[in-house]
Amino acid sequence: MFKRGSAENEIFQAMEKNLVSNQVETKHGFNKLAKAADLLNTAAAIFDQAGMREEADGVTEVLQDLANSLKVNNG
Amino acid sequence: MVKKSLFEQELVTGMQRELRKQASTETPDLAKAAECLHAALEIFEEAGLRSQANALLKLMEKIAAERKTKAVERLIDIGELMRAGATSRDIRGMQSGDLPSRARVMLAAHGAGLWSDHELRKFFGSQYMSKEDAEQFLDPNRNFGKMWEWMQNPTQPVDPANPQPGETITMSPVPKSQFTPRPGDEIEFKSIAAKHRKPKRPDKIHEESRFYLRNLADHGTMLTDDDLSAALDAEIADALNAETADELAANYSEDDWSKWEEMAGQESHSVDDVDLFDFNVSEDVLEVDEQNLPEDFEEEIH
Repeated sequence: MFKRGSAENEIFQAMEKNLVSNQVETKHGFNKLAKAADLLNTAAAIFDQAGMREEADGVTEVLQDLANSLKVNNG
Repeated sequence: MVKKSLFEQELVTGMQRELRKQASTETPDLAKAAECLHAALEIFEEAGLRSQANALLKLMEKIAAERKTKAVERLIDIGELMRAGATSRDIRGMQSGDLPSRARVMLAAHGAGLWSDHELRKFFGSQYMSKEDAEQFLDPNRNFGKMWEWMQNPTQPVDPANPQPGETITMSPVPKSQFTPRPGDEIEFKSIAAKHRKPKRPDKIHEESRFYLRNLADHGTMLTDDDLSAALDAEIADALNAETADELAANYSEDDWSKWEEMAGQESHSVDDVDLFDFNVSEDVLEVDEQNLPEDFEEEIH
């Protein structure tokens, strides 16, 4: 037999966790921003591989700018 | 002091590393990089990060401005067209305005995959036909081709074996060479008579006649096979001591039968050969008294 109180508590905790993560994602969009950072990193690597240093530096600057803005907002 | 050998070794190692790196790396996919930048730009716009979005947009514009490529115009080669399936006859037909030839050439040009629609349109001008149109025109399940042929010559019969009213039929004369034999030719003559025609020879007696003559000699009448089993007349039966013709035939000896079998093996017999029948063939002479001829038909009647 399962303890009824234990199961209810577990469900409550899972729901709370899910709601909090949704709220954080809605408010800050961390997952999307992380994905954007990954995409920019991939583009910079391709430019670097192709010898397009200037373009690669431009993408890296955007990434730095993004990191700074997130640091300011969270700080 | 820097050791010369160490410096050279470092240079060699560095060059080797660079060469290996160049050889191992694949061609960078710039299209993928552009897609990544575009996706990141959309995310920034959704997140309200305007400054980062603008920076990315400027970067993309800069790349696009630097990487403008000039379109190289490729000439359409007739050899390539023919390799793709067009024939010289089709090309000539296309020049003379033949629609099926034009469709075949255009289908070959599209099928070659060497030229874009824009290039084909520019090269062929008003003769251009899209791939779909060419396929539909040449589709045997559709009747565009037949309709075109009919439009070219409406009076030509659609079905030559079954001409309809209003259609024109042309006939060519039979060449004289078919009738004029040349030296060395073999000439064959074919009879126009019926195949089973029997030659009529008054001096010959043939199988059928001989059968009846034999019956006449044996039985006193021209009996057929059916008659042989029929009952004879009472007086004749008494005289011959036989009820039927078969009984009468049974009275003959084997010598008589063998003699008749010999005769049956021969194809034909002249009247002179049939000596056993005791027939005298005499010529009847029709005597006409010219002095007593009637003047007309009525006088003869009266």
